[in-house]
Amino acid sequence: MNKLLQIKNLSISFKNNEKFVNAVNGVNLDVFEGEILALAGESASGKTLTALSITRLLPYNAVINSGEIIFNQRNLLNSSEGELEDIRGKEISYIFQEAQASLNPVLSIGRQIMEPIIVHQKKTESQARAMAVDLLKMVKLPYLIETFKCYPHQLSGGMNQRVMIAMALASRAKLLIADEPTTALDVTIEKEIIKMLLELREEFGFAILFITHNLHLVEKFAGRVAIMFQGRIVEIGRTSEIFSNPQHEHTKALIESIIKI
Amino acid sequence: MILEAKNLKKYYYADQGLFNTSKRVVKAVDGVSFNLQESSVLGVVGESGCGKSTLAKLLLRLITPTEGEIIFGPAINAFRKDAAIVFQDPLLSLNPKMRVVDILAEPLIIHRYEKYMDRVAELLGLVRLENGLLRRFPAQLSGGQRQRVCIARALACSPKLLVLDEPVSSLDLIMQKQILDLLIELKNKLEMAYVFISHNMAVVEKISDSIIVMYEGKIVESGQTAEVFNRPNAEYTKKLLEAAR
Ligand SMILES: Nc1ncnc2c1ncn2[C@@H]1O[C@H](COP(=O)(O)OP(=O)(O)OP(=O)(O)O)[C@@H](O)[C@H]1O
Ligand SMILES: Nc1ncnc2c1ncn2[C@@H]1O[C@H](COP(=O)(O)OP(=O)(O)OP(=O)(O)O)[C@@H](O)[C@H]1O
Ligand SMILES: [Mg+2]
Ligand SMILES: [Mg+2]
Repeated sequence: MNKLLQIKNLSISFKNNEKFVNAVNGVNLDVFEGEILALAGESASGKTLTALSITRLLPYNAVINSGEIIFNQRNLLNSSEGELEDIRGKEISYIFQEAQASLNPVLSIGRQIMEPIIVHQKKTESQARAMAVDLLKMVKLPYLIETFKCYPHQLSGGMNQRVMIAMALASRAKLLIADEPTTALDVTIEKEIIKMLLELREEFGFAILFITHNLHLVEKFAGRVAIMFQGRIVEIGRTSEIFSNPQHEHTKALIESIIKI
Repeated sequence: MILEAKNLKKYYYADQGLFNTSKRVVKAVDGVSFNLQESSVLGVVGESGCGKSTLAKLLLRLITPTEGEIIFGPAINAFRKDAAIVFQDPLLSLNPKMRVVDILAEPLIIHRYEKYMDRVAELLGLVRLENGLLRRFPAQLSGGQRQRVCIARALACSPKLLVLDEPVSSLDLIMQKQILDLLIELKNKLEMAYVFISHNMAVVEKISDSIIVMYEGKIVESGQTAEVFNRPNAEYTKKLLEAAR
């Protein structure tokens, strides 16, 4: 398998009260074409920052101290904003952690899904509309016609999360970065959405970087898993091996916690 | 009794387009009734879009019901102080221009707490956040940190009634357990009552005394937690429990 993305020795820090605090520390991570790689680990360990850094979507006060992010033989950390803009819409797409807050509050749901299709895939208004309706169907949103015209505040948390998923799928990207994509969904819909993602992956062959604290999902769907702890990747490998023989203390604690709630 | 919901309804009217003047009604909450006793926890489960968050907002009078009423027991004197909510989307419910310290201090100052900074520090400790986060803005926190700030804010004035809408959904399992244990401990110590919304059946089972299962705005099943889990009646409940395995 070929490497689709390589993160090499990535370190990110923030300036807080005049001193720098490291949030991500020497992270190395490869994503292979077509694989599902889960990124799990404790809250605040740096998962979202690592994901955002891939297309340089980091908060303004973040500083990248070192690292390379290689995608298509290019180091994205040196790419121009214009190049990145293109990559974000076409080749790497995101499902962000807090769906409702990430959607545009003053654009209707339909518009939000259509807009990137028109811009990046050069489709006409009516083609984009047809695609958007299909996507909403795929993520099991009811009452398509009205949902299309709704604004995010008129939808439930889980409905917005599905809108976000639909938007990310519109781009036919090679890499889908999904940051806690199903946290607002009940288990029945979660199952259907994951099944749909797997089917699409079969069809289009994209890779998924799947950030989640849901270890049931990791065990079921991810070929490999990386465990993050305090800004570092402390363990990475095939999911079955890590679940049956965890090495790092934090991995052990996480796996134990599955049964404990 | 701390709270009684009587035949609560919330309808929204959705446009069907330019030429169709009839409007489709979204019955987000459609005739929900229940009682909540002091120091007890009512779990609310149901599929995405079934009306859980709408119910949460109705209970705290953040939106007006289309029909029905909410009656508070004598424990709720000063409504703004004795009842609080943790919203589903932390980022949306925190003022982006306020620092964590001000977010936590605000309710305390409004309710004239002396030594409110001590309480802020205490709250931070309860939800396992470091002092270093106090000067940050919500956008400068991780998802799970934001969720814990929301919980801390809701706990600030030691409310008697707390409505929690998916309060641990962004937390890793270790932290979920710690926060659930904290909520259970506080409930016992301070005699709080919770309405606890979650799609995670294991979490609901752990914390709730009784449960309601909602489907399309209506309650399709209710009862003691153990009963509902062991002998589900409604088809939807069976499906939920099945999928959770
Ligand atoms: N803009 C910022 N300024 C300062 N610190 C920040 C900023 N953004 C994030 N951080 C800090 O960086 C650390 C890692 O954050 P990140 O969002 O990557 O965590 P995470 O692993 O995604 O956690 P969660 O599971 O809770 O979402 C956290 O301690 C967070 O407080
Ligand atoms: N302001 C509004 N205007 C119009 N419709 C609304 C509004 N708020 C909610 N709805 C609709 O009411 C229904 C119930 O939404 P609600 O947010 O209560 O669901 P939920 O059970 O919390 O779902 P989830 O688990 O996905 O968060 C949905 O169909 C939603 O689209
Ligand atoms: Mg995160
Ligand atoms: Mg909701």
